[in-house]
Amino acid sequence: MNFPVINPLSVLPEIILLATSIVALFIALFLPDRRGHQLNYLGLVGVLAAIAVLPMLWAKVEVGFGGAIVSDHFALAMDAAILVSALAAFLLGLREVEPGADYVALVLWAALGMMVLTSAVELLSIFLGLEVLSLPLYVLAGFRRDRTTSKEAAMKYLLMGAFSSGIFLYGLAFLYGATGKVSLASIQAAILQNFTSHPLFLEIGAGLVAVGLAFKLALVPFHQWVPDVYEGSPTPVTAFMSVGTKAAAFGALVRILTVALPAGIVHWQPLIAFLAVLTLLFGNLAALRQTNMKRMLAYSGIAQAGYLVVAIAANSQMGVGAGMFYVVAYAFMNIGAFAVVAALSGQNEEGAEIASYRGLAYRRPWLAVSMTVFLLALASIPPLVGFPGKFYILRAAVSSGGVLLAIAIVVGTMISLYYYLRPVLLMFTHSEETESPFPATAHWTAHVTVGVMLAGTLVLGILPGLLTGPLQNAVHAIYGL
Amino acid sequence: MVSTVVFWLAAAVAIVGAGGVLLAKHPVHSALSLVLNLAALGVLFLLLHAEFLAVVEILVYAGAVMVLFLFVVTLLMAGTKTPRDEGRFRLAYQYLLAGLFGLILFVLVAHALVGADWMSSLAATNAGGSFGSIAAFGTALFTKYLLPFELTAVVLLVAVIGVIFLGREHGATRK
Repeated sequence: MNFPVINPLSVLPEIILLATSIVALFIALFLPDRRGHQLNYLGLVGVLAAIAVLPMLWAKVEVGFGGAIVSDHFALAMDAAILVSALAAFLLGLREVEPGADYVALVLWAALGMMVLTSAVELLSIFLGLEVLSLPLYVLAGFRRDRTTSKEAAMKYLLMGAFSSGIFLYGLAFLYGATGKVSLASIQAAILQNFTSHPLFLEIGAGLVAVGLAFKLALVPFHQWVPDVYEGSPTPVTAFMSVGTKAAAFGALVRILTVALPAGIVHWQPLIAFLAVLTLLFGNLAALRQTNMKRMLAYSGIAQAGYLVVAIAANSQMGVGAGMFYVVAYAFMNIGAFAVVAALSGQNEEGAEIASYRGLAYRRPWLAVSMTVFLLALASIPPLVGFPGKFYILRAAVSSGGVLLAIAIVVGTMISLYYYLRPVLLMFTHSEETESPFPATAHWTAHVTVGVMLAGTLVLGILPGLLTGPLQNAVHAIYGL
Repeated sequence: MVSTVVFWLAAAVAIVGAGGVLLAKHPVHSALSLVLNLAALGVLFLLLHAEFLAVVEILVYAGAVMVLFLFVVTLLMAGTKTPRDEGRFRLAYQYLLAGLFGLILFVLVAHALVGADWMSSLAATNAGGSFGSIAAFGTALFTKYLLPFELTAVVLLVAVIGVIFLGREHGATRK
């Protein structure tokens, strides 16, 4: 019997998260319920420890479990974005969800699944990573069981998620059926040597895999669940899943398309480009009509996913690098915006209506100014991080000949200005009302989150070179350079 | 000798089960007939020395897939009475379409059976003595597919904690 070399270093961040979650569950047995929320700090420590080992692992590519998973620069860069969003889930979660051990463990497991999804290079592990990501999020979406909207979110997410998992798995089965291989690299080898049983199976497989991940990325027309789920879920969970899931699904899509199926580019590139254009136009148009802040951010998230997919459609090193930069940029701006929403809303999310932001700048200047910065960044106004992010994607699209994609980005961005700037205008309009719909104070951790995200948005906006250098290595990791 | 008797018994039960799926008036009865059919198929796999397939047939199909069926049935029928009370649950041209598809399937299967080259396909599928045995499966699980195996453990952990959270009486523990 040949036991595979496990190499724990290849899954070190994952092991840290898993260990933390199990410790949290054990401590909860001996902790009185009213102190359960303190476990959130344990989760925080676990995520920080996982972030701390990332630079250590950066030095060398680690392959584990007999080649089923790799910890390369690409995986580590995506892990960083995922862990930052998990951090936000813990920091923001203290107030709104009254978390206990279950919240801590579920967030850690979802993050674990996301990280597996970006680093697995074998079909079975990729699918299981998707499941480890999805199952905790279904529960987390319904974490506020006293609220009907939260239960509705959980139910919708569960049903749509189950369908998308099934479609994804069916696609993987086709890829396996066509080539007889489960590892991404050997699928490519089999395709190149014409060892495939039927080319049609390969095309069906690639299409179904793309659709399955499109559900998770919230691409039009697979986006219908997004507004209700993002609105109904507790805000910390929404912040976490909007960023973490996108980072993970982006990672998996890039790996599958560029490592396993580069030979099928003529088939999948038009499909991905079509989805991107549809998503950019529809997401931005639908966001115009929203009156609820979380719903508006949900549609904006759909549109933002469109930019990410343009980066994949460009199918170049430049494109993958630009997409990775945008994932990190999106993490800072989007989590920041949700952090402000969380800081402003009370236990029951009163005041998530955009109208209630009127005159906010005169009552809560710090939060209003921060929100302004995040919204302007999402609208990609320089010198904030959204601008270089979108610029890199635009450059990648143009240099690979995707002029139509570039036009779609520009049109989408122009539409988006309206709905990103409207809340800004409202916040700085004097309101007659003295009665604020918001609770007077926010938990200090919410302010910390807003501060961290603000710093990221500003620093990376002014000095994008800090990130593009390391990301270049990550791109090389994907293309095996 | 014994195996022949068992084969005919299991085959008869499988056909009765399949008939039950079609003829039962209540979807839940249909689903339960399917369990009978799958269990009988499991016995047939055992007769063919495909131990692992037999176990999977019972565990995955009769167990997990059936639970999914029943979940969907209860989800779709929530709040309605039995179909018979509801009256028209029947689709238009139901018998016609079912007969048509049944006929197509029969022709396809019959064509494949008649045209099959039994000896060469037998040789092609014979992947070695231990293939499909529980021992071979276990070896693959703990060597080649170790990471998926470990991840499945995490999936189960998530499911257990998630279900406990969702199923717990709230308000009593949360203030």
